Amino acid sequence: MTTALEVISEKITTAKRFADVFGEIRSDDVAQNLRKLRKQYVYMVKFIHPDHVSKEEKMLANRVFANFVGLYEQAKDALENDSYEIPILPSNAQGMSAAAQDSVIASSSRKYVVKSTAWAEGDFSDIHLGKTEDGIPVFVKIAADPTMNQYLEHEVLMYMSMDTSSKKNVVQYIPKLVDSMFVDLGGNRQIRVNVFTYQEDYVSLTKIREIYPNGLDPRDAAWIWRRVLGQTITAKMLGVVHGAMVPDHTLVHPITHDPLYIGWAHTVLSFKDTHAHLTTCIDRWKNWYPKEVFDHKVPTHKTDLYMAGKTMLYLLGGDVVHNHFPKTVPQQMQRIVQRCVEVNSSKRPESGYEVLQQFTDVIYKLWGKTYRPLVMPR
Amino acid sequence: MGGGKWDTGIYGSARASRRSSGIDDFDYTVKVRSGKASKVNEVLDAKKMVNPDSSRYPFPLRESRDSEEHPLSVPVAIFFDVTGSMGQIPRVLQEKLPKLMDVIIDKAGLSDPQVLVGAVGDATCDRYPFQVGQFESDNSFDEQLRQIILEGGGGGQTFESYALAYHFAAHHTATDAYEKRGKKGYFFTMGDEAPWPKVTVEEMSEVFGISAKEDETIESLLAIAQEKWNIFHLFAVDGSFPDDKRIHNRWRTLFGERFIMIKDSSLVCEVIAGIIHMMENAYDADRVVRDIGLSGKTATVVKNALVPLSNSTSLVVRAVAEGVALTNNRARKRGVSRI
Repeated sequence: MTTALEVISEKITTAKRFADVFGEIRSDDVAQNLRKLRKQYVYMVKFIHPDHVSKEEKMLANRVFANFVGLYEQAKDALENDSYEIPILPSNAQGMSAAAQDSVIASSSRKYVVKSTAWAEGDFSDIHLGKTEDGIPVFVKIAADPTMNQYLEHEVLMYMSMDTSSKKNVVQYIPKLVDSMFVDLGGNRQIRVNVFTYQEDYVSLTKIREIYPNGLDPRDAAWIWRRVLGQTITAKMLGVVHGAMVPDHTLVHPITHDPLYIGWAHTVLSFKDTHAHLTTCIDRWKNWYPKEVFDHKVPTHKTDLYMAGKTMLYLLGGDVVHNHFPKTVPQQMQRIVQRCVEVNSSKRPESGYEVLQQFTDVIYKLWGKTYRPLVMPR
Repeated sequence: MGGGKWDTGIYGSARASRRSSGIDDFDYTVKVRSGKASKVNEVLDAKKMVNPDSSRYPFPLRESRDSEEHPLSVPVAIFFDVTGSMGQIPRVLQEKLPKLMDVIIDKAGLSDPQVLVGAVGDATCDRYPFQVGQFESDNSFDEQLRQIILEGGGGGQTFESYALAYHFAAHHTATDAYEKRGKKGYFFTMGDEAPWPKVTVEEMSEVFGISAKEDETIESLLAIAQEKWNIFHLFAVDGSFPDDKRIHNRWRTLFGERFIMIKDSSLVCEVIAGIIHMMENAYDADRVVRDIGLSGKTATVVKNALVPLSNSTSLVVRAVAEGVALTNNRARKRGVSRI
């Protein structure tokens, strides 16, 4: 848990203006301003003076207090010279060296250096690549604005609620949530930030389809769709409905064919006795959502299957709205996908696992067990 | 709504003058019981809510807005069960309101809280299943608390219509805190019973005066309401069902760590203040209890109530950023829509 000392230490090391530490001091009366500064100084000393903290915090307090006194002297000078509002130089030049174009996000216990420009645009967040202090690659989801914080909060909640015990074999395909923070923007506004482990070279199905604008060869789409079905099965095993099984949220590795399952911010629990609805739909994937969602019915595993079916139509270059496939797609394959996108959910298959088995049988009969690396021009 | 300022002194003197004139703190309840009044007081009637802008909001609502005097409003709504054994809660709230405000402002650091009080009963059998005040920045909410009809009597039904409060939170509130700053308000329900699983079309019409096509489940109402509210349910362990595991589990499934069990319901104000302080600053239970100035047995009860929340995912680490990653927002092409 964060102590007052840590909070103040943080304030001192990250302050951009004196006001960030000592508060706004604005009157025209210099003597009064100095008194106000002194008062705030005395107040804060109570929390950070080495004599006032626990044994464990003594070391930190010595350092923080010395910095604090230095900053106080500077602030005093600034008030006297009417330069209190002028930005101060950050004192945390030590530690990680952030390149000029990088940004730093720091809580009291952790620090991340992230690229200032977004790597990808999510539906309610921007995704930036970065590293932890130990150099571990991460991707950082930054809410697009404070009203979007709720989605990232929900995502954390879902990560915590998913029943991952003894399910190592499926959990390995989900990026690990390593941190979640509120970053203060000033003006009493806070932006939610979620940090996940990042694995290189995975590409989203959206990216893949952009490279194959007329649709993929059914043999490529086949193995990819098996991963998509795997995501519906994973969700089921974890006790949830993914709720946003769209091409952005399934990633695959073109060479190893391993999947990476993301986009758990729309997920709802499917445990017995929960009747949560999906409350939002992603605009650009509106055609992926089955009727029951708009009818405010409780989503089920079959909802995920429907969306997985739409994704297959999209991969193959079919008509996602009317469920029409290109002629090159084998009939047996079409039939299986068609069942998943039935409007009436009772006509859809009961389980993704069952679909996966049937589908695997079909493609082995069609083409045998051949490996096809996915060609992805850089 | 939302002008004025909370003044502990005014609160105390208003109360003293009622006492000296022999007026009960809950004189509206006295009037209803004696037949001098028969309806929910107008200021608390959900049917009297209005829609300030039908192009933005689908339903009539209560607003928590910023003002010159209160530029950083954060709404705090407290709904309690007014039936059976929970009837004393409003009296407790009334007595301890000043302290609640002090802690929220001085310790939690919310400079401009706006408090709304309300009451829930059982929509299937009570005469006054839902009463709701206004968001107030001053003593007026104490006044509205006094107008609430305490159903008293009855008790022991096991189910109450808490979902009406969540319907209110989901569909009938508009707050500047959320709309302007993405800041969630705090919403508390308190009681000792289980929730009815949904709000029916009939109840929506009777209570809120709106017409809807279908019933709404408590889960979906909570999902919507939680977008702009931090919602907690406070369960009174000293109520009618201290050991009913089925009731506890039902709440726990709905709320997780935000299901808070209070051993002594007279400490509800301290617990509410503690939760807000904890959520705002991500402090642990010890620090929070100390900051509120509690000691001895009281401190233990409040701390025990808060412990499940500390170290939970509800508490979000605070961070700062340097650089432009968080502020160089481009025009966004993507988005989400409400279903």
